[in-house]
Amino acid sequence: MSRRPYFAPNRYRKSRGDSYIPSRGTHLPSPERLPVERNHHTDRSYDRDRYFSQRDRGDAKYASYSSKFNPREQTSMSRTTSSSSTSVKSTSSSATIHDSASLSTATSKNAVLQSPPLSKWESDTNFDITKWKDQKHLLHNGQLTDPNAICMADRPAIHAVYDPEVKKDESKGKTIVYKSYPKDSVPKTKDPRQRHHQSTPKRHKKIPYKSLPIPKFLYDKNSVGPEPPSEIVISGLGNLWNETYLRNQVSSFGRIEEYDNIMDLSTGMLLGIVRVKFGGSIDKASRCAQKATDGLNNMTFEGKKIQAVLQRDSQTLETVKKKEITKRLVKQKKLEMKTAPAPTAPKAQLDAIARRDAKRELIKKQVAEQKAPHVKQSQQDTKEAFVIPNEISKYVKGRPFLFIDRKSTYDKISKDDLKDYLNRYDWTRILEEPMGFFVVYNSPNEARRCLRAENGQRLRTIKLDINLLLPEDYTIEESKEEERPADPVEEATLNLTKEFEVALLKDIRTKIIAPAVLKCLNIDNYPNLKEKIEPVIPTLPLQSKTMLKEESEEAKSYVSEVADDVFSLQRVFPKLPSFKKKTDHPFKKLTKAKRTRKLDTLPLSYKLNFEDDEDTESGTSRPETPQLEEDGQPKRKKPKTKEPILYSSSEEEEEEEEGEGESAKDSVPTTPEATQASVKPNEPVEELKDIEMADVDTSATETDEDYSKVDPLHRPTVTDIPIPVYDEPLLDHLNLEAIKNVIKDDEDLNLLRSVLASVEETPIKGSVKYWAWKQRQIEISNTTLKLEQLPESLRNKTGAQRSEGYFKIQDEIKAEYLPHRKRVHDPLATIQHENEENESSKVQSSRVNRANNRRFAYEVSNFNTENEILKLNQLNKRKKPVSFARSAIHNWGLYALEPIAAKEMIIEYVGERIRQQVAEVRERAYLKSGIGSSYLFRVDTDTVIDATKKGGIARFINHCCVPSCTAKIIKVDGQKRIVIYALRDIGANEELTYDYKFERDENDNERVRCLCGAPGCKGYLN
Amino acid sequence: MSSVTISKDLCTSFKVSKVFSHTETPPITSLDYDDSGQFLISTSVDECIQLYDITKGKHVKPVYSKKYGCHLAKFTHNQKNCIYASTKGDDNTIRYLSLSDNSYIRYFRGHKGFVNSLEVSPKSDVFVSASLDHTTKLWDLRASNPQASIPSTARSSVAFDPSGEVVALSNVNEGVVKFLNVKMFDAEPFYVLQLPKGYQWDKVEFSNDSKFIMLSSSQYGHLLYDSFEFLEKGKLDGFTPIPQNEFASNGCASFTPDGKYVFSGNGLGNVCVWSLNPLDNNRQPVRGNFKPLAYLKGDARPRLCLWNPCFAQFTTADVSISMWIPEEAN
Repeated sequence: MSRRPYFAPNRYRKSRGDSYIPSRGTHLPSPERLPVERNHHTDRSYDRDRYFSQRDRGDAKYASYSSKFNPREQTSMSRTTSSSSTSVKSTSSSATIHDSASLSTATSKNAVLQSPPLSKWESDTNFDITKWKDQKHLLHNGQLTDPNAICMADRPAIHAVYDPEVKKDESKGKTIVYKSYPKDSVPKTKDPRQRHHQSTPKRHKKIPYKSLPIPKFLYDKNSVGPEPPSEIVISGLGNLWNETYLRNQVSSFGRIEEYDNIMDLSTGMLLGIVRVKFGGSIDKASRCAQKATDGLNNMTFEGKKIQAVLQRDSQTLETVKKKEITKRLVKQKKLEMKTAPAPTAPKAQLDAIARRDAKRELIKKQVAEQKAPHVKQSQQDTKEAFVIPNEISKYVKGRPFLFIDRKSTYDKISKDDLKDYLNRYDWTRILEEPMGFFVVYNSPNEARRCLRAENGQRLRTIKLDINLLLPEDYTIEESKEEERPADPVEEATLNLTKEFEVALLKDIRTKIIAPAVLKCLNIDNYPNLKEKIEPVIPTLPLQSKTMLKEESEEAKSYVSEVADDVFSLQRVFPKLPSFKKKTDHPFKKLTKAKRTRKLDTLPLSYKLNFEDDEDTESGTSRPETPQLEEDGQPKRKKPKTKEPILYSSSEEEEEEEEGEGESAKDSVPTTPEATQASVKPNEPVEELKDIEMADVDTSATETDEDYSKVDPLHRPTVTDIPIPVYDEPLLDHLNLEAIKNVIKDDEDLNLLRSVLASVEETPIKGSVKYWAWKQRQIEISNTTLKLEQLPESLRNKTGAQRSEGYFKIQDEIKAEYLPHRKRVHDPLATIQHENEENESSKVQSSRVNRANNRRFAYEVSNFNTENEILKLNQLNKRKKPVSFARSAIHNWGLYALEPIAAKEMIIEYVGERIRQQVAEVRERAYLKSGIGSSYLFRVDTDTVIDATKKGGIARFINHCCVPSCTAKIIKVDGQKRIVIYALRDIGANEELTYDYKFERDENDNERVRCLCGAPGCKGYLN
Repeated sequence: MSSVTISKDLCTSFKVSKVFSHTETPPITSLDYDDSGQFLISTSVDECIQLYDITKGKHVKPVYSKKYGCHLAKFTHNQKNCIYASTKGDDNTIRYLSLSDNSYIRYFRGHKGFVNSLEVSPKSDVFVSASLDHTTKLWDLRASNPQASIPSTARSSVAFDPSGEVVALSNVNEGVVKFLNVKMFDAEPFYVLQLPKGYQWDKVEFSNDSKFIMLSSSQYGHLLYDSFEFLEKGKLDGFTPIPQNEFASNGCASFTPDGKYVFSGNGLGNVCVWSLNPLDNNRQPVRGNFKPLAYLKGDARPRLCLWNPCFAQFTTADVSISMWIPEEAN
């Protein structure tokens, strides 16, 4: 071994100035230690040739002081360079060939260590390991045998002075620049290290850590050794325990996979041992088990201290089991050994009388012993006085306490156990004495409660024998407290009876008293009062009388109804007959009286439904209904700007007018047909009213003639000059239709006849009716022709549109002549208002509806908070039926399918919620892709709703300068939403519009024309 | 994760916890940990780079390099990037591979022979490679051309010191270890350490506390030198040579991160532990041989041995990878 060559002849070494290290002698290979497998040799023969040829090529001289070369061009460069040293080199290389050959043919006897046998993979696979084998060879004899290696030992040491890849500098070019030190002036270096160098804050691989964390490997198929334990054994549970409670305790550490109660196989008794296996992956289960043992061991469970151990193997359980069995056996034996059983006193339940007896006896006895503080013992059978040890008495301080004899506990209970056990009671102190335990209470009741519940109970298999001891001072207090029923059942009944009482009172009030009172108030029951009113009535016209009666009836029915709204009562009043009054008209008095009576009765019914039950049987309720009181005063103080016909305007008159107006509204049906029927065309309503008034007035003054049956239109007036019943129409030209409109009755006809008497009669051929119809048709065609007369600019020169070729007519020009564009936007009276009351109830009902929906949604959300599907969209519920169709304004529009009342919600504007920036990008993209219509709706400065690609039909709503709807931004569940509300009443099939409220565009060319056609159209959208 | 102090007790309590033995696994030729100690990378003769997660003790994935072969895979400072040397054909390129997306970042071309030693600087993005083409080159990870190249006889091996400022370039043939300043790589070495005649070694290593240089050999045992004074500290006794295979060994011994203990695979099929701490050895570490502290049983073929830089864990490998952790963790 001593002759082993640890180095190879350094054939290619080139001296490098000072760093030259002399070779340790050229080694001549001895035949014994030049081994190489035969196959290797043969395999390599070709490669070797190549290797040497390469070597020769690469044998270039780099003598330059500072050379610049690119390694990639190296071969080409080497070819071009030649030097005198080449011949010298080649001779040495030829020697190497010989060396190498002789080396490779030799075999080694003393190979350092025997190689392991060929592994299976090597024979099976065909990985290219030739290089490796060469390396091994090298290892053995220190020879370079990489067949492909090009020796570059003769290259000078170089370093890069400029590398564009590291630091780019345009001025220095794109190729790397190397430099080498001149042979004779290679610089010397110093040890750059510092002895005690500070470790940098940067984390690196070679920090000398003194302590290291241990990685926690997950257990899997690669792990060595047994599985980590995932089972634990809990013992010391006693004979009986709450399994669910224990399970819950254990499952707080992890999912339980198996749960076993271990039984004593010989007796079948539960041993108080539980085996728990945790679920999940092995790692998780073992971690849970570890945690559980740490958490459960020595824990007090149901008053018993339990032990928990990891079950590493089945032995653990067996040992625990054996331990428990022997323990029990010992215990049993002990019990048998005891001749006298433990003094378990009969579980004396507290008996107040017995205690008092005992107390009295104790008092007698305690007279003798005055020194030590005495207490009475509640226990029935223990009649002797209990003497508190002196050291304890200062803690007890005359308070009641429970005493647990130490003998009965067998010294197995500690103070802490007891503390834990009694922690639900409000004790102040637990003292441990050689005699036993003292549990001191502040309140005797609490002490008693504890005694009642715990006496005779088991604390860790030990029966507690508790005695209550009360000091003298507590007797009175105690007896007082004694009388208070502590029974929850009794308390509950008390509460219930109270509630029942209240309910009963309410029932009596509403079901017995109220009808009785109402009955009392019935006018038929008061003949005297009736008579008082009666004498006035005959002066009234018949009509009024009946109306009055009806009214009183109505009022009564009203009273009986449950009036939930005070305001609704008001609406009865407008039904009063509209009379023209004179200041001291007797009827006025009557109406006033009537009113007061009503005022008396109405609030009562209202009040009956309230809890507040003061004296309801009086007229004092007036102040409580200020609204009603107000009613007696004139409603409107603002004088109407109307030309009085007969009277100078006065307050009263106006009041009456108001009333009259209302009555007209009430009595006349508001259906369009009905309105037309009752009010003749060409006659303004106002005038009609005036006439009416006049008529009524006369009917009131001229009592001798009854005009009430005459049509109000034709009733006589009080003026000297007769007023025309109908307005005189302005006839620009005379035609049949106009004449027809003018002639209202026979009188007019006669007048017309007399007028036309002078005109010569032109004979009409054929049927007169046909002639009349024809005349009418001619007239109609004349007017329509006029409509279709196009403006000058639109008339085509050639006379025919067809000859003009195709051209587009601008929308704004179209708007000027297409009739549907010219349509007048008048609000349609499609919503039926029977009367005000009706309308209010309608509004209310929608409100109630909404409230109901909200309640429902709340209940649903309470019922299941997790289910997203059940989440109700409040807005969807309130949605009105709408549909989209082609619009006169622009492409598509949204139409109401049924009448919508003002202020109602119509639809939500649904779409993608996007940011402002996104909206800008999208808007541009949409414009580019040809979507001219904008469906972007700004919610706030940062949010825009885009309904272009995804959205509801609300996007079809067009702009109108006089819109029917408005968009409001409301918050629903904290999110801003756009909701369209009706601004006014909207008829069925009417198009819905709202004001887009676009910002004004400065550039006039960019402005978008508005085609809404509304009378107040601004002409532009923006 | 709680830390444990590296002590005699801890070092003797190591047990194999995981064994990764892919069926018919060919020999593993190199091991390396990343800077955080979380990942382990191994190259094997079947042209496959295996990645392991140490924190969980899991095999993450194989990365195949069938075209070029692989050897000496070393992590760079970017956690999931590595450089490795090729083994096939004429190609001696060092490749910079991203393990996360299995793509090459850069090729480092320049060597004309098999690269037999490769080390990444612990602090900066430079690395040194030694090749059988009789050169040792210094590279920058950003550039594909070498930053410096010096002639060195074949079978050189390189090592960085913990500060990353010094490279120990050892040459078995010359029997010397040259200490070079990284900043002046092609200048004269500031020290040349002559080693005893006849001693051949596979690997040079600095201890993390910069106290020792260890020359480890699977055949001749391990020698310790003072890294500043360059004095021989002694030989690690009780080592049995490991039977050789076809592949050059590159490190069967490794320092613990604190530099107080040396773990090495042993020819008898166990892991040998030496303590360099005088307290454990009851002797002054002047000069003399170190007696082994313990032989750890568990891996029968610990050809390669490498300590984790950040965890109390080390790995041994031959045809399978064995991960060792202290017993108390189990």
